[in-house]
Amino acid sequence: MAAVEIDRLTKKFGPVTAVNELTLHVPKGTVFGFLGRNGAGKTTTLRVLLGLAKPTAGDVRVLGRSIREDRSYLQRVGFLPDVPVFYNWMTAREYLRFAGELFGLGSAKLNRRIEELLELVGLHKEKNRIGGFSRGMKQRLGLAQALINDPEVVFLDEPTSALDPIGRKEVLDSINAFKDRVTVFFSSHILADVQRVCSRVAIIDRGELITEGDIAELRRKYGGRTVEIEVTEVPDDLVRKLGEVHWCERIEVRGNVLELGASEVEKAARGLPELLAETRVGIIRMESREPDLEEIFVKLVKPDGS
Amino acid sequence: MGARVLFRKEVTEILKTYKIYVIPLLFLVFGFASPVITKLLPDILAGLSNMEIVVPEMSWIDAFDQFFKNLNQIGIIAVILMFMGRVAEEKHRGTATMILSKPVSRTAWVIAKFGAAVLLVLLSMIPAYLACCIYTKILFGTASVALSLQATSVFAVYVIYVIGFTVGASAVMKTQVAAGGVSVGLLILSSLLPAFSQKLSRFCPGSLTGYPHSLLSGSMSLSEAFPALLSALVSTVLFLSVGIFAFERQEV
Repeated sequence: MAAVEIDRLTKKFGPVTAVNELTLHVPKGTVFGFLGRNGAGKTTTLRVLLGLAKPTAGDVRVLGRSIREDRSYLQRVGFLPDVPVFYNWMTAREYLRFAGELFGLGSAKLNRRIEELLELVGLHKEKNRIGGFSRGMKQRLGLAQALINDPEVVFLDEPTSALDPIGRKEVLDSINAFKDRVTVFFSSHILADVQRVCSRVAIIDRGELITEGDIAELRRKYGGRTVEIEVTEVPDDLVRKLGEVHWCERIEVRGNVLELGASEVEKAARGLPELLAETRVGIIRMESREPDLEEIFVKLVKPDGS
Repeated sequence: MGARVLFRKEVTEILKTYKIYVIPLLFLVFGFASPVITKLLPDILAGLSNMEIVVPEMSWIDAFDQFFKNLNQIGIIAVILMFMGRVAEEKHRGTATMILSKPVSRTAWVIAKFGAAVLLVLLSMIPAYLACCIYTKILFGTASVALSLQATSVFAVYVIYVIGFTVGASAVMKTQVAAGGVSVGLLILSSLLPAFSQKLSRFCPGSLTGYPHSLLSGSMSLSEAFPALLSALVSTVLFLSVGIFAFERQEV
């Protein structure tokens, strides 16, 4: 059974279609990256998954339960919104106690859980009221409250988007620390963060699914390879000839460094040395690497207005 | 689910924030000040003008009348201002998203807020009433505890009714300003309705604001207030039900 099954989900706000016939399956135990630009429909999808918004059409099942039928699945999930807002008069411990009690957790178990989670997110020494917390501290507290009920699935909506590099690292470290025990649905537009923690991703654009799969699979499927060559010089003749070969789909010149997008790796491996020899260019360094998620994303997601 | 937890959170919030000071202190000031102002009113009026102003002799009834007038004007507005954002503000700020993504009943959430508000206001009325009673007795030499208790109880039901439509409006509206606007509108409507029909006025919750004087002066008995009291309590349930019904269907 999948942790989350979304079947032809559509959500409209008046004439605007925020999510259009989205179908997704999130296997249990994965850290699932849900990628898209701002306004792509990620938050709307999450709000539907959590019963905060009603679907216009389609079926959504979380942990086998249809969200239209009952809300009991909420007992087994956790949620961190993009901007977690707390009661400023509470301390971190008081908020976690309140959140835990809403799940019906007993006192002894809850006390242990609160201390574990505060330790996990690095707030165990914090005694002040939440009103005085930094943005990063609130995000980490948000993460802790999302885990208070020891959920089977945790939904994280842009957990790092508004944080500075230190805050981002702290949140990602926390996610890495618990990701083996829970299914994580990680919505984000920060591709480096997704690449760092996720094993499987879906990319959506304008409310529609563009692709879904393991990151390694997507790299093979969409990426080809990127070949980087440092040469003695970059004559115009070489650039022109590279533009004419069919395996080279992208050329970027940075000083004496050429970065090539190679759609067919074997043909590039054979053809490139020949081209360099023809144009009498010396090689200082040459390496090839798989494309990162950002390159795949840019390739698949249409720019605005297209 | 979690009604007890939500109610406890609401009460703790009242205790830990400015909310614990505003209504109790305001009501207490009315309790102390109303008998004093009533006692000094003839002297104050005489001092304002060289003309001779004949003011009828003030009694303990006038002192309590002044107390209920203050509660009905400034007190009720303070109650609306205090509770108009109880649900709407949480929807607007985003704290509602954090709570409602958990297995929490929206009905329980609204009722917890209503219950905590009623508890605060009713508990605030006790010291205010006692202060008014003691000062009236000191300044006027007499005060009927039985009649003043009846009048206070009737007014307390009216306050519950006001809290009911304020919290109901807060559940329906998206911002606390809108909720406040609707609440003030309902307050005005409530006060105007009894004037439309003499027969129907005895069933109007708005009539309850005039009953304390009638009860204190002995011109009506408590049993005559029952239709309006019952109507106020039924209306409270109706306003809360409408609020919950709308809130259950809202996206937050």
